[in-house]
Amino acid sequence: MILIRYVEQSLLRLYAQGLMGGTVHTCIGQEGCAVGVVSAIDRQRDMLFSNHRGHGHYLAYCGDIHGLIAEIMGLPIGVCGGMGGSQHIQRENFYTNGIQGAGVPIAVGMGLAERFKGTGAVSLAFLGDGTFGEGAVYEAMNLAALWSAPTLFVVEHNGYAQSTPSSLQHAGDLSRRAEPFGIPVTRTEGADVIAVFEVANRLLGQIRAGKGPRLLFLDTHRFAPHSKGDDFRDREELERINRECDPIQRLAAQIGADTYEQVRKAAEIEVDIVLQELGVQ
Amino acid sequence: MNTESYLDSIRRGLRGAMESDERVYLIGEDLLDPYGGAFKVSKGLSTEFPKRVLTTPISESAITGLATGMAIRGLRPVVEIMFGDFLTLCTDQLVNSATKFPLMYRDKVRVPLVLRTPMGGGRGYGPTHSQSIEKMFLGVPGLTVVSPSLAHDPGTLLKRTILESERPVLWVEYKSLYPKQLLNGGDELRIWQVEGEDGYPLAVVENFSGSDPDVVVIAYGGASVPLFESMRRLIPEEIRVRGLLPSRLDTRTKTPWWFSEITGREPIIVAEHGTRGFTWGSEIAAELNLTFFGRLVAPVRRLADADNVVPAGRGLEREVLLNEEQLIKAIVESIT
Amino acid sequence: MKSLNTPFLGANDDEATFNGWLVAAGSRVEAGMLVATVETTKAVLDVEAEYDGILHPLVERGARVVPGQPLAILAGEPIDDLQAALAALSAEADANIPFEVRVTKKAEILMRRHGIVLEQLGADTSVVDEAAVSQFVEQRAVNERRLGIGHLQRVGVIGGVGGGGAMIVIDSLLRSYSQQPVCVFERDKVWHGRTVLGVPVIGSLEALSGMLEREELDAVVIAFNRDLGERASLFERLTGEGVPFCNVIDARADLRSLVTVGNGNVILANVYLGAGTRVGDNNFISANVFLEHGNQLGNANAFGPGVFTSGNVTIGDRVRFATGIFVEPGITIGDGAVIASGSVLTVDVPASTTVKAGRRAVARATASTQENRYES
Ligand SMILES: Cc1ncc(C[n+]2csc(CCOP(=O)(O)OP(=O)(O)O)c2C)c(N)n1
Ligand SMILES: [Mg+2]
Repeated sequence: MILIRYVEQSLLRLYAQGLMGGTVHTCIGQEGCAVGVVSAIDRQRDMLFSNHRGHGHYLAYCGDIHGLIAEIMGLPIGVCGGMGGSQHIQRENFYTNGIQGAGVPIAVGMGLAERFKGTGAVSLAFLGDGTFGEGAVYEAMNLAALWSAPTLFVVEHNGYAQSTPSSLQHAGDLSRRAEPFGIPVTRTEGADVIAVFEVANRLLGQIRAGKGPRLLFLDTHRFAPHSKGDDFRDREELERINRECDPIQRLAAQIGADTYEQVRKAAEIEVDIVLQELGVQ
Repeated sequence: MNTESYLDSIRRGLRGAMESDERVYLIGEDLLDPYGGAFKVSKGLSTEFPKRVLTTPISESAITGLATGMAIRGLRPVVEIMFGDFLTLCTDQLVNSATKFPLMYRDKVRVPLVLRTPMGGGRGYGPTHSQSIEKMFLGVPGLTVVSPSLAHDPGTLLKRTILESERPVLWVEYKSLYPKQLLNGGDELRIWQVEGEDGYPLAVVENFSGSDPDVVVIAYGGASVPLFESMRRLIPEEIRVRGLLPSRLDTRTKTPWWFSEITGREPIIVAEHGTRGFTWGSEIAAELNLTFFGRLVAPVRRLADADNVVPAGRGLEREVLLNEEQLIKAIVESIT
Repeated sequence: MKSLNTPFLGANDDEATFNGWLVAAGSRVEAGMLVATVETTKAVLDVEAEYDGILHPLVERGARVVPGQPLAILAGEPIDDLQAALAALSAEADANIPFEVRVTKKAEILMRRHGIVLEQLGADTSVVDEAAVSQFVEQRAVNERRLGIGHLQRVGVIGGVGGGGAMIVIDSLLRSYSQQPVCVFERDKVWHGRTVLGVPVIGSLEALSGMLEREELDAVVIAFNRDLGERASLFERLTGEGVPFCNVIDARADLRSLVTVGNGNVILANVYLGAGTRVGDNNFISANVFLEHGNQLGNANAFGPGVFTSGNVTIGDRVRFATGIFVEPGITIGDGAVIASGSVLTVDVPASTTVKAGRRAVARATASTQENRYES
């Protein structure tokens, strides 16, 4: 989490310095979701379909700081040769694409394929609350439940889609959207990485046991702007969530200040070395 | 002299349409102030017309269908699709419903719907946010596709389109044009408009005066940026280029009316963004061959983006997108 | 006398501080001797004398210097006026820089097209432009013509702008491998300054003699064909004045064996002239006219499209054929006759008669009685 935070802060700085083009969506504030969920998967076989806000998912999956930053900088040594940039990243069983909602049915399909092949692998689809606007999400849930796909839907509910609050987009309760399809929903606070891990672990176990798809609904907060641009959200509210809902502060309290400092230093050194290698530090 | 940017002009057109007709509604994602849309085109409008700017969930298909319904019932909705790439999500509504109704119900049902969207690359947004896919919508019966360039007055044209069109219009803006100032005759490029029978003017731009051109380049929308840049660079080289820029991508089977501006005595180049082939440019090249058979001094050349995805990396992206160097090379080659 | 210059400072520095002279001004130095140092952000660099001579400093300690900048002059003799000496040195250096010529892309293309190399132009300006190359090409063409070698015949077109005659003649010339249209002469002022298929309408015939004198034109042809009397008299007058006429024969006209063609004729696409047909001067034969073998044509006749004559037809002067006409073998048509569209001629037509079209005319012409065959 600490590493993810520092990588993304560095990305925002590089962007501001004009050393990167395109766009970056950071998950600053949401790291608990990424690390909690991805720590529970079987890295050998499980599959992740991430979304536009995927740096955290990616780093939690493989820790490839160099490939990620180089990719976002558009360099040929990036993990996709500079073709994809921030929101089109792929490595091993990790996939993303820039079209909201499109990855959800794809993840269901990948899960089904593995079930047909009998590998026992589970697919995970990450989606934001805003992406509940897309019809493909519901079509995918229906099929997943109908055909008992081994899929974990992970919703990162940060209350916003780009500039628009959830209240201006969705009627009803998003956390209950999956239930009518017969998909059990578990709701947890994303800032508590250990709780997220435990829940994810349990749900993956159920899915692997052939019980069909599950949905993990994580309440979380995005601290930084949607991408690199303006943020018109209420200042005080932002400060409050920064104080109260920071997964890293929570973790620091759990592991103790000394350990936290050690980890933080180590992470910063690791990232700084990569930045130096890439000639931007 | 007009010193408006492309973006300001479009915003003026939207505002003008909303001001003069209460039936005009703006519908799309993240449109509300202070954000004012992903590219800030609708900035200020939700403050001025709070009831008629509707911010939506991320539901491109539903938005298009919903706007179709509103149009059928007498409103004049303008939909903004945040990136042109997402038009694929609107396709079913557009192709199988919105454009079908006026034709199959013999104009008993009108669909005055304008779908606006920014196309094209140049900003490093990567493969799903940089494409020029308007070619997928050419040849759909009943769909008017418009894409003004820097040489037009996009705002005035947009306002007229919103207020007057009775059938669906796909209105393609190029994001590379937004910050650019419209061409106004104030620099070394001469410009004038030729009005046509369909109300969508052709802009003629020349980098010389008082004689015939050496080369004619036909282009639209975002390709106007590299075209004008190449024309400026060719002035000291004494290479006379006439640019013809239609504002509407006419895909009817009939010969475009503005072919009257062409003699066939100069080499012709058709330049556009989007992957090469099966495009507006291909269609124009074919039509030129039919119309000017035997009179063309050279085969019509076609320039477009490379046959690849649009990469995110800046250098890579530049290699894929049509640029002024390619245009200069083609222009010089065509008269050598 | 040579200058001693600031050395190359390395890739990262383009300026240095001069640290002062290590030898006194006016002293004699030898090549290879360390005479000064300059200091960049990274290093102190030596300045060595490259020649023997007396040192005349130009800069002092602390000065900011750039690579190549003269630091001192080394001369065999003491120098009184250092500035003058410096000026002389730089003039000498300038003289050694090769004279750079910029060639515009357009000029380059034209040079390649006409097979010209830069040396031929003998450029004495710093820019070679389109005008310079065009002028050279013009001059070369004049010279070649004087020598009588290769070159497209440059044709001036007379009249016919309003009626379209000029356009079809120019259209034909544009496809010619041996001729090119250069200008149009037109009486009607409204056309002046405009173009016909890109060829300028320059004015009335008054401009003609000047152009011939300046060798801007090789020959003319008449494109109007309404008033055949005028066509004939203009041709006579101009040939009398020595104006050269040419034939314009479309690349797709088909002239068979032993066909002879006079001068000043226009013969357009898909015209067929059968074997042995003789064409006089100044005729205008539109597209798709078919004259079979052995036809005899006088002067200043005009044919609309689609006139078909069979073998051995004799046609006088100034006969006007409209369009879509059939003529049987061996018929003779007198001077000044006018044959209306759709006529079928089976008997001779006397001079100055008008054959009107329509079924009656055809029927009557077919009748064998000699009288009243024609309505005149
Ligand atoms: C089909 C499609 N429509 C719109 C967008 C533009 N877009 C990118 S991210 C985003 C907001 C997504 O919100 P949410 O799903 O809540 O995820 P968050 O950004 O909050 O993580 C939008 C509208 C897109 N990428 N794809
Ligand atoms: Mg969200």
